[in-house]
Amino acid sequence: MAFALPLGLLALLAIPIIIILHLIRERRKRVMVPSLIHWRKVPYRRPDNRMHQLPLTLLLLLHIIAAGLLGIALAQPQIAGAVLGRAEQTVVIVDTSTSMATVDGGSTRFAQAQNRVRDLISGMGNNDRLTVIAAGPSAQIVAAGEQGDAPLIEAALDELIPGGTRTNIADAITLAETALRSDQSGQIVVLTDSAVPTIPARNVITPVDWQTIGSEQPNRAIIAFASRETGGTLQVYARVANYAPSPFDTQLELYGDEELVETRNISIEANGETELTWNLPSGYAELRATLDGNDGLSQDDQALLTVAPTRTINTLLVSDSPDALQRALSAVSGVSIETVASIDYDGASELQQRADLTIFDGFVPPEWPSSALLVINPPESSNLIEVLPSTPRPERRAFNQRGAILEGLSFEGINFSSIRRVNVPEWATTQLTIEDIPLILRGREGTREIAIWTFDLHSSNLSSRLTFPLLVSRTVRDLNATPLPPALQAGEELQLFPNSRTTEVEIIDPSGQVERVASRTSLTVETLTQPGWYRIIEQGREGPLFDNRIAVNTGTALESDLQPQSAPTFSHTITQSDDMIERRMADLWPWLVLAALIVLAFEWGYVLR
Amino acid sequence: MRQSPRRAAENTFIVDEDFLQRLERLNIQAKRTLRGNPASGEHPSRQQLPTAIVNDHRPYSAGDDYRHVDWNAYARQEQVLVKLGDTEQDIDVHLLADASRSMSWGTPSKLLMAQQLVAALGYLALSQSDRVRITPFSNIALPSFGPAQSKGRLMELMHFVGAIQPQKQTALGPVLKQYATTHGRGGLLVICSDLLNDAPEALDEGLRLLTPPRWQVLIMHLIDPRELQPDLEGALDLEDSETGQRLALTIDTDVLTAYRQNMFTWQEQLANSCARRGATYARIMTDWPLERTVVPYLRARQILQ
Repeated sequence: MAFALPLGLLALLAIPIIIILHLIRERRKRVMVPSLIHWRKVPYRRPDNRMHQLPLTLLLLLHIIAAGLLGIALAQPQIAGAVLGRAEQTVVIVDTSTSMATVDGGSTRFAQAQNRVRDLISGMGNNDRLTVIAAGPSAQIVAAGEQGDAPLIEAALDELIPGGTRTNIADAITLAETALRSDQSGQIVVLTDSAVPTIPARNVITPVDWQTIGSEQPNRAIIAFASRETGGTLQVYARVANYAPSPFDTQLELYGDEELVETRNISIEANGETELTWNLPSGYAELRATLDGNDGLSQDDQALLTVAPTRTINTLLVSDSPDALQRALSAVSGVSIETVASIDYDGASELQQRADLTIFDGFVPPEWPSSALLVINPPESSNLIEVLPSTPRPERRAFNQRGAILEGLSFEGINFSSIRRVNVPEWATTQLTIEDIPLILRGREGTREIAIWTFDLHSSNLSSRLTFPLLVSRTVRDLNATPLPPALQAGEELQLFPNSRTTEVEIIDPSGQVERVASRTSLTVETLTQPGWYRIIEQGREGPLFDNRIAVNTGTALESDLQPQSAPTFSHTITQSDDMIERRMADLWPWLVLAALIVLAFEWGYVLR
Repeated sequence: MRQSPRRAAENTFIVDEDFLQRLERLNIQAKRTLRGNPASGEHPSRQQLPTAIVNDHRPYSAGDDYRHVDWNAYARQEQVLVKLGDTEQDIDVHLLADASRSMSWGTPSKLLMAQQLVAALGYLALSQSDRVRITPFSNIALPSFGPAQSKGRLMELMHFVGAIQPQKQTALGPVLKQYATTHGRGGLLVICSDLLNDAPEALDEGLRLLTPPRWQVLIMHLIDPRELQPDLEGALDLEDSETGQRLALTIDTDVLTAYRQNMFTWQEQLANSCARRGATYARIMTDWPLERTVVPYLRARQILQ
């Protein structure tokens, strides 16, 4: 129940005033007796004795009831429609983060949350509606329906698995507000262990029932695990935290490529952290650290890492004078270069089929290959790029550059003596111009990434400047897929830029379940929620183009701390402009005023009886 | 005070002729010392006159009827004696009915009981050829009925009794004083009253002028049961039915106990005053049926026989 005008409750102060008035002047019933001569002789009672004893008369009771009803009516109480027989809608937000997998009292916190949802399902009325929102790294509605849809809701509930190191409660509540139907009253129930990011106090349109699941538990976790190679040495770093009120001694085992490298005894202070480092010889591809945590959350007792992940870029350079480009490309890590002269170029060759990037220098084939393309100094005879007749070299050298890959590069002093005047295609944007003449174009045609340098590299002094290898390196990286990160936090989004020849991306989770996604230029993978190794395979028409593993870890300072967190503050306010909410609430004050009038009428009849 | 129709019907005076006929078998027990007229009446007289039924003798004196001379005694004692016997007389019966407002309280009202008693005793007196005078009173004596000495005035008596209406408050003491001075002959004085608003001392002062042998006073104290056991509780404004005065009182068990003690003490004082002045005090509850309870009670108290 809410009050539209809470200040009206001040009228309830009339109740103590009524009681005081009754104490001061007690209203007496008049009774006729034959004579007072015998009543006058009874012992006299001092009137102030009555002040200490409240006269519990029917009249006083009626006055208090009437004043109470009118006082509450002045505050304009409104009640949820369900009380008046309308359907009730409940939106349940279930925290699906990793901390919910903590074993707490014989079952996991997540299982306890599922049981509470099942209780809500069993308590649904005929027209009630229940919506279940899974609040993990992102919030999503997993099931919704009425009483008849209970089996479907339970089935969707059973499929949920706790995972991910973030709980986006704020988005989940916003999603819940939108899920509430405007013509029904409702409430939002949040089932969480409160290991969620801090949410600033906010207004919601309906009451929020924040139910904290689980109790305080000690937990130890590996909350950071990283490596770097320097001078033939692999430096490994780990940070282990003890979220408990007492110190903890344990052992941490480090594995390299699944072989035990070292077992180290560690001691962690109460509610403290300890940092560990190792210097290992290079050559390890994957690392794993395992902690004997002896706690209810085992997922964060292990951390995985890929050492210096790389992604080979097969580059086919088609040029009659490839020296400058070869030198610049060889400086880019992970680039494999094959060079052919323009006269020897065959679009159907195995080299071309294997190439991730094809660089055409002063040559354009009759048909674009499927790889990414860097076209340098396209000839006028090209059918694929419209090249206009040459124009005189500009007198002034005013460069206009834009785009991330050119940031920090200086073209001052570079002499572009031969520039092809290219009609800029619709799919391309100009990144560098000189006196309004395009020098560098960048764009995407279908799934193919294309960059066009309109100038003749060999008649320019660009290749002798520091800008050149940087420009080549950035262009190659920009045109090709990026390598996988060494590790991700569970639930963290993975941005994939598959090879342009990729048709399908397969994501295999630690349990072996395969998810297939059609390839796009950029893919956002949000399903890496379970700790362990995920395998990413980019499939092309001719077979796998890329196959690598990525480590997913769950240990974070927020998720691994299983000590109770305070619930956020939600205020349930109603604004006059919010018609939707007003429709869900029913005014009670007319009924209260009617009841007060009935009480007053009864009081009138009682006095004049 | 306005009465509801039902309550008014319950308090209406109705004459039961069968009851009166059954009542005729009883007599009012009047004292021999009362002055009366031996020419009529059925009450024993203090005077002894020559009669056929002999219980005494006196010497003959000139003028005595020879028929009353006891010749047998003369034969034995050679002294002329006249046979004497008890004579009967009529008496003056004064019926005083309290007509104050407090008499109309209760259901049935005390006034109704007073009317029934006065009618019954008046009927008995007329049947015994006594002289009957009925006088309602409040704080003064109101116009009275009588004297009447024959049953021929019975209907007139009944109408008078039935027409008695509640008046003002009671002042029995002054009324008795006034009555004693205006009726010096004396007689049987029956007072039907609740005796309220009069201190026992005032009653005692009035009875001082109505002492035997000239007067035989019978006080019928009419009491409603709810006066003895009031069903009152809580904070109340008590209003005097006669004066209209009010008294704010919070009635609880202690107050009721004190009230009942006051009532008991008051009745004791009234009875003592009556005993001291030679009057008979009879407490009659208004819920007593007249024929089944009141009349046997009066017979037990030797007021009727």
